[in-house]
Amino acid sequence: MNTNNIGQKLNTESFILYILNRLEPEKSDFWYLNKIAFLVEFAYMYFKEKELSGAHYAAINHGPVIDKYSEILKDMESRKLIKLDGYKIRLLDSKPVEVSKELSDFINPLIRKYSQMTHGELKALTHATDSYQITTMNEKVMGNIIDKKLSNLETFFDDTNDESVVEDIDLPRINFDKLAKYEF
Amino acid sequence: MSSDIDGYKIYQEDRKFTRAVEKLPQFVQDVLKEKIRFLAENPYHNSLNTKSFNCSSKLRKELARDGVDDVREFYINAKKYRCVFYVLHAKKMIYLATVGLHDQLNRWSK
Repeated sequence: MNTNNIGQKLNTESFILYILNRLEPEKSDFWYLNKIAFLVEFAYMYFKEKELSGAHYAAINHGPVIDKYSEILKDMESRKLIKLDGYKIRLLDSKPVEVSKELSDFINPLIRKYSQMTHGELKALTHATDSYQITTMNEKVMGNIIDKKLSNLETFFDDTNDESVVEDIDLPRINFDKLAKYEF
Repeated sequence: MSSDIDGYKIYQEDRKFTRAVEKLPQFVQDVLKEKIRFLAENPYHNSLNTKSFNCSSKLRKELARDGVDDVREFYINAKKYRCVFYVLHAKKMIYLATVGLHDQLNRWSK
């Protein structure tokens, strides 16, 4: 059992193994791995304001993917951790990656949730993220690394309803004599 | 850089809004700046997930006299921080009303 990750950021390989351990065999492929990794990592950043893993994410035509995922997976295959079969990924090393309970409680439901989506749904979801759209300049520029701080823009992660609590008295009237342009 | 991005012009009262923003954590400031860019392009930009701000009809009428067509809000970060703004379509203007944590908004906006 790999216990090196408890209480600290997962390395990319451990994160990949953690996800693969939780995917149904028919969904264990490049597509699900990359989309789920991106969504889980960015959801974690969004809520916890810290990185989940050392993985970087590149914005390519197929959407956000783990940067250099092909090389990483081939390297893992060479070390008999996984077996690549076309787009499919078979897990050979069944040793679980151990993480803290707090972490598993957060990410396991997300892995379950996103693995229930179809390829098309995951594509639509990840392509529509601000992180992807900003990095690709609305899908014009491909190949750049997505800044994880952009996860803060992904308010869709937070789907709870919340009512406004600011009372009327707190909202100012406009004083046109004192208007000033906002400077970026 | 000026706030004259094609679309709506962004205004505040003196530097009141900017001063409130400067009290926020740096990463929240960075995100807010990005969101205000979206706002300048389109106050109803999908990426902002704006929603109508829940205020009384009395206040809406008062603001309407200032030319305010809509009072809206968006969350900056994980619903901890939010920004309330007014939209004045005739002037193609957005007025940044207030920003902050739920329980701090009252203090900061006064």
